[in-house]
Amino acid sequence: MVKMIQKLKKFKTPILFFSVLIIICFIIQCSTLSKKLPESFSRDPSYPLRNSITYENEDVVIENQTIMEDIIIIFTSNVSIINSTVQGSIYMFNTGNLNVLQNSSITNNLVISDLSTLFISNSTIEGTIECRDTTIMRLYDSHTIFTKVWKFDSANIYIYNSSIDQLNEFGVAGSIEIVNSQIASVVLNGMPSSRTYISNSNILSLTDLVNPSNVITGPVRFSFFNISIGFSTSERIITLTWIGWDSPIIDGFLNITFQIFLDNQFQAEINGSGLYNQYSGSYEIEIFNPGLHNITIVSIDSRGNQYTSSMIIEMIEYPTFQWIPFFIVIAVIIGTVTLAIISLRQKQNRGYFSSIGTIFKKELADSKKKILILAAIAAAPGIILFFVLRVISQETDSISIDGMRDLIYIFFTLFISYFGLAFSISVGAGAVADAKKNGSLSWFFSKPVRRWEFLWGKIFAFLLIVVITLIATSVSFVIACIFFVEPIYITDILSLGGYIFLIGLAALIPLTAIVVFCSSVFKKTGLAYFIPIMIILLLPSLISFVPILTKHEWPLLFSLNYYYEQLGNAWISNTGGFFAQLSSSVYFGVTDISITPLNLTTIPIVLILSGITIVFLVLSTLIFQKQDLP
Amino acid sequence: MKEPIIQTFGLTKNFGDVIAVNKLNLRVTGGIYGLLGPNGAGKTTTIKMMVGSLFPTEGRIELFGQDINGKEKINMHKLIGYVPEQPTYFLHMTAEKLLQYIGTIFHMPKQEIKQKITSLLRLVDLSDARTRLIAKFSAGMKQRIGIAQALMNDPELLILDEITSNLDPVGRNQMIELLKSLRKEGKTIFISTHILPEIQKMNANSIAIIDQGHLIMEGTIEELNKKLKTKAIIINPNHELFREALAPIVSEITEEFDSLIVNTENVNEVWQIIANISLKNDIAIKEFRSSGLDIEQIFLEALKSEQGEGG
Repeated sequence: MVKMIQKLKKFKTPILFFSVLIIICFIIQCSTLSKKLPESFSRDPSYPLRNSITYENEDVVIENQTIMEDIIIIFTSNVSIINSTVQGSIYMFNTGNLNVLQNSSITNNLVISDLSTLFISNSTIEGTIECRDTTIMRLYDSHTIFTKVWKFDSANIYIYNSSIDQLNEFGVAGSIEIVNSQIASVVLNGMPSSRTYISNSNILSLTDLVNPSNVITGPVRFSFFNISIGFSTSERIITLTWIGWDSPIIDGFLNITFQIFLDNQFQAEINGSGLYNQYSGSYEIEIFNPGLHNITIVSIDSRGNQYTSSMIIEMIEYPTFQWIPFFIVIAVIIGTVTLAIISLRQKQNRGYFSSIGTIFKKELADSKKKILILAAIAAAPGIILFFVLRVISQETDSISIDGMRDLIYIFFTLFISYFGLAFSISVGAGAVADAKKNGSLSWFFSKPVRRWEFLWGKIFAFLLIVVITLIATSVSFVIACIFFVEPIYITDILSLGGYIFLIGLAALIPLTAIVVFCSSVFKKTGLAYFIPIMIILLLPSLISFVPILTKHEWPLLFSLNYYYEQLGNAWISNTGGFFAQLSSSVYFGVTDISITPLNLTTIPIVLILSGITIVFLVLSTLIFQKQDLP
Repeated sequence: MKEPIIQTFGLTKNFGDVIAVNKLNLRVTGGIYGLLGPNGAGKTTTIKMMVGSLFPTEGRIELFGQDINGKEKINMHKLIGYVPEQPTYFLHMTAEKLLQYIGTIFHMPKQEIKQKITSLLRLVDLSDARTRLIAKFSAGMKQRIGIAQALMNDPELLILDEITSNLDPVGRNQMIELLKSLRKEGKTIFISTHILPEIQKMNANSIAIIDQGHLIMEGTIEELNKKLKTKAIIINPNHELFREALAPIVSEITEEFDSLIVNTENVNEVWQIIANISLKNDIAIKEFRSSGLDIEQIFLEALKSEQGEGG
């Protein structure tokens, strides 16, 4: 014990500090509480000024008595007034419970608030019943022509087999149920979310000032991560969904109609009346023009009250793949290659000696198995996507083109980064480095083979392998999606196929160029494998945080993945991606750091990637030409 | 004077601070040319510069009168066949496929390729291994497929780097006979080796001895013998008294059956000593004649004289 005290002495300063801190906190807390209590009472305008009896946490039965004073029921008191008369008013706070039973009479007002409950049966209330906060008031078998009931806030009122003078509703939530009763005047002036149900009752005067409400719940947009309401979509036919309701509902009948407007142009009127609590509606709207559109639903009840809700929907128009220019480019490339081959053959006939064709053919022949494996891997995400879409389509009626774009974007951009790495390394890394390492190059170049022809024979073969592989990817994606879309979106899917091919080219060709550069320039084989891994895996993750330092996105230019993502955003789905999440918007949201975006469009991206490809291939060629081969 | 097939002019190759080949001037005019040198002398580096895989730091190489790094490089490469020291061909190919590929590189017609493959595989005794993967070949077989691939284009010049090092004695003899026959066909054979008796057996037309990257001697064996002061003297009988007397004054004494072979620069002094011992001890001299050094002796003497000069 003594030892413990000695040990504690070492910490006397922090113990003292925290003790003082705890005491200060305690004092502050107590003073706050003591100040708050009267404040809360004083805020209530109905606070009694007369002599009163207060029941606090008590169970009280008042039977056969006449009480002249006001009664205040606070905290958890449970008070029953049986066959008695209260001359004053009754005020209830907190979670009290008051029962007024068996010919009892309250000659003044009854005010309930907080979470208190009031039950009146077979009694008379000559004043006003004021229900506030989240209270519950039940009025059963009571008939007093003077009784006025006021509903505020989220109070819930049940009037069964009773007669009262007035019911005034100003609530924001909660409900009123009037069953088998007679009321001289009902004034509904609250929010639409405060519902009133009238059944089999006689209302002499009903003033309905409640607007029939509606909430737009769709178009529902399927995304990979959640189901959300899409405010931007590429759907050309959107299914607008909404819920509408109104107050009062008399004898279970909702009387409401909806008018739908697109950009203030009337589209349709839908009758939502029926024997139900609320109406769930849906309507297909065709939107053809890209940009922002205003969709409005006006709900109108039988008394002409109106409520308007609207949403802005952005119609995104993704570019349509230009197949004709694409095939023209393909034809031009094929034509150029054919002309080059013809001219090479003519030159060879005149004595020029070239081995580029032989090396190209050998590289392809050596890569037969590799091409099959790569094509199978390249088609894998499309095949998996097919099964994913099949499962989703079994769960939902149809998959939106947006949802499909999201899925393709996620599948493809994730796939292309890692596949690009695997592809470029498997195809290009060993191309020169392995031959250099085992010494076969020095033997091979004793043959009439120009070094640049050796390199470019291989490069052309790699390009062909890239094309074959990407055709497998594109076709697999198109086939996977085409069965699950509405016919009007088939052109979109075909476009996506074209863009997948282009993005694939944009990803694989520069990477292969870099890998070929590493393979042909570095003398150590390990570097030819390690540097592409650095570029694809490590560099993007390191660079993605640098914009915080630079306050500009320019460091992202050093990450190839950034370019693929941007192309994906422009052509497949503008869902953001890794860099979008790590760049300006998120940083700005979390830290208030404003980062200037790059805002690169597709043309500069394609030019940059082409530039990278050309630079690396030219450098590879120049260096390899003059390099000693051990 | 014959036009040189290979000629190097001040050929130098540095690897960092290391001078692998130092101002080497070679001249190969035909026949079998042996490039001799100890391990690390710069033989392989010289050959790799000749075949174009290494670039000279200084100097130049001419093959068939043309600079090997000039415009006619590709045409020159059509005329050469090269077998590297360490055979590293495309291991995933069969012997037949490799030769086929080489044939296509030389743009040979398919029929010719086919015929050539059959004849070459027979020549190097690999007909049975025609469809076997090169990866599964023994070191000797790889050396032989190397010869076959080098002969695929029927080259005028064969550059062979230590090609017999992986062969068994039978294989070596076959290779030597093959090279001799190729010389008869008019091909020039440039061979580097450190196994000297082979060069002797090949009856090389010329040899060059290099050490530490520079040329020590170059010429025919006769020319080199003339250049060297040292002579080999054959003395018969192989008497103990002769051996004892000569030991202090000659560089090397070897015994061959009943004869003594001594290497010396001073034949007269040796004769004086032998004559005196013979007279005093009544030993009949059956043979005393001066002879040229064999290639191994030349090589050793050349290195010795080089080290003497250097030292």
